[in-house]
Amino acid sequence: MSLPRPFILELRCPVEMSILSWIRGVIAQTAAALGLPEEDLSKIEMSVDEACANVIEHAYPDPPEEALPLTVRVEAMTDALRIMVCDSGVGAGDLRGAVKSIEEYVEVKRYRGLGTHIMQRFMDEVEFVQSPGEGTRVCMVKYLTPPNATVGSA
Amino acid sequence: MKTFEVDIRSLDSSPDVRVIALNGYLDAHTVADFDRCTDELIAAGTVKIILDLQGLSYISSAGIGALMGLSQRLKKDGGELVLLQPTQKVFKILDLLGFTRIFHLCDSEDEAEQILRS
Repeated sequence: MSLPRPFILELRCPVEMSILSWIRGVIAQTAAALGLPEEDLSKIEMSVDEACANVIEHAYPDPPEEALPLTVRVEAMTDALRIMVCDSGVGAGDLRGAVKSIEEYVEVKRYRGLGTHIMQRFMDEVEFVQSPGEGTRVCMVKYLTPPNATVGSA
Repeated sequence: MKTFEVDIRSLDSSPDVRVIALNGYLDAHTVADFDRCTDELIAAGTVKIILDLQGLSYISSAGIGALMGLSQRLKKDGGELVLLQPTQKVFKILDLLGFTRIFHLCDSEDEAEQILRS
């Protein structure tokens, strides 16, 4: 049975790598309960994992003052799943740091920038919003029906 | 909770080939353990590795980067990395991103051994 929509789920987390598997589990269970196909479920789980790992790795060079500075907000709407990963740190990267293709990733041999590439590739929309002193918000959207789908007439 | 375990053995038929079986998930949290394990093997002279992925439930970009780095280091020393039987979920991730064209993937240890001998 699919979950009723809309609903909002918000997770407040510490910036510790050990929290990643728990976040993945919550996201995967939520996406599965919405009746999303297995492939979309994996794509959403991985995109959220990458966004959260960026925050944990880059946003707080010094220990944060807040106990739970990483927020993952899931908005399950009737037409889309919107997920925001927010922090109040110094910046967790942006789209400019992403590799353009796997070929570039392999060629350059730095093995960086794949996480952002994955978010762009696996989600229908990705936006990084950065404000000085206010941290970074990564907004990702997965449409529950294809964004360009049109309703056919009988 | 950290769910990541590594089991290392040598192939009976090719003792210079090391088989690393991964269990759990390879993500930004556990990748340091994986790097430490492979660093030790390479320092001890290993250049041919079969990575048994039958027990790996998830891989992130950090894990893929570690596999790419390992493959590059082994090739530099005249060796090779072969991935053995990834779980359906891990295979799908690698395939969607195009890494099944980059890595050697095998269905059996015999097949992996053949690639490492060639």
